[in-house]
Amino acid sequence: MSQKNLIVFAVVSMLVLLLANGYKKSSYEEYLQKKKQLVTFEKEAEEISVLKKRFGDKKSARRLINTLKRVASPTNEKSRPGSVVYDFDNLNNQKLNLLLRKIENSGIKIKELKITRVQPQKAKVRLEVAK
Amino acid sequence: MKNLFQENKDILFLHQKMQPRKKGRYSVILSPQFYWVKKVQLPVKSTAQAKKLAQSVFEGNLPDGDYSYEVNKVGGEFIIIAYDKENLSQLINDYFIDEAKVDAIYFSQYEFSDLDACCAIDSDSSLVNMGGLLIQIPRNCTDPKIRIEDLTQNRKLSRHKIKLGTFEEEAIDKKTFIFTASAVALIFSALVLESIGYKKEAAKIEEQKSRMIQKLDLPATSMQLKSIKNNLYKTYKKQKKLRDELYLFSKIPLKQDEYIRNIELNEKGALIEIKVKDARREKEIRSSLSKKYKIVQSDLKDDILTIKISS
Repeated sequence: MSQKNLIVFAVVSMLVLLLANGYKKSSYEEYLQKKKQLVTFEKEAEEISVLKKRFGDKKSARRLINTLKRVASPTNEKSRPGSVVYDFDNLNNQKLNLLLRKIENSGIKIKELKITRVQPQKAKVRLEVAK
Repeated sequence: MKNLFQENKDILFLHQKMQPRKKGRYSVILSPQFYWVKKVQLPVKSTAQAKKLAQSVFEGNLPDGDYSYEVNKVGGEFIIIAYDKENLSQLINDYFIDEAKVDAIYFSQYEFSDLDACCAIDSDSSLVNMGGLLIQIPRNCTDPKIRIEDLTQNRKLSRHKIKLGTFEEEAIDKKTFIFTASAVALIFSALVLESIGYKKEAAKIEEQKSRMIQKLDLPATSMQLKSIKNNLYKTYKKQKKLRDELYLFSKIPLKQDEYIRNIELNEKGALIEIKVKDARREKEIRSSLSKKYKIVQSDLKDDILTIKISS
């Protein structure tokens, strides 16, 4: 092979290798970016999943209301646009504490909560829950 | 690659009476004057084996020198050419001077093996085929029908060329070139394969993401995802605050005969009414609540302390 051809071969080889290396680098960066995105996405998806389970699941909300009803049956249940109001009257200390603890620990979306002492050992609760 | 970058070159029959060339590129066909040829039968089959025996075939017949051999099998016989590289090198240097260059050197034995008539080389000599061997003889013995220029014109040269390093300006030999080219090809393949690997991994990640979106019933775009997350966080914060307020109110230290009369909690804020024993208690209760929340209103009327906090 002549010197001229050798130079051409060397230049072409160099170019081809540089191109291939560039392609590899861009592929690697794309891979890294996707990996990073996936980690962020997984984290966000997990957070959303937990939050959705707690506040976005209607079935779960209904189940919680039923639990509350089992603690103390509401004397009145009124449906409003976007919410439902439950009145729990004549609650003794024990029932009141139990009901409030359940509300506190549940994932139901409270719009308004009113607790009123009626007599020394009696209280009433008005709970407005978002639909 | 060679053909792409090389200039046009002429085919030239080189004989002793040729005028030296000063310009141009040439493919040179050597006259039989410049090499020795023999047609022999050997007890071997391949040209490679015959090449090993070439030296012994010419033993005692050649002048002193360092000879190389070219072997070609024709029928059951071998045509063996012996040439002295150094002499040829000198010859080329003598006949191609200044800017004239030689790209390759061929033997007339191989290039004109189909010659079936007497061919005039110049006014004194001819080229003839004698039983398969091409030889140069005086012209007065023959009656040439063709001229050497007719033979070289547009001739397709054979692959039997010889390499005399300096003439062809060989920068690297074939083996080194093949080795280098293989190394380049190997590195190129490795880089491409690596890239494909990364691309595949990236595609797998995308698939994983899609599966997760499907499984968790999430939106496909990150914008939608962010919006859902923000809404859920907003709800979470509001609900947490409501529950924190309820917890805080339930932990207010009350004295004997004191009680909470009313609690109202909503997204805008909270209100608590406490039956207190005396006016001094207002300060105590206010200070316990103000650690965590901003008190916007506080009244004490008929032993009922009303405190309003904002969200």
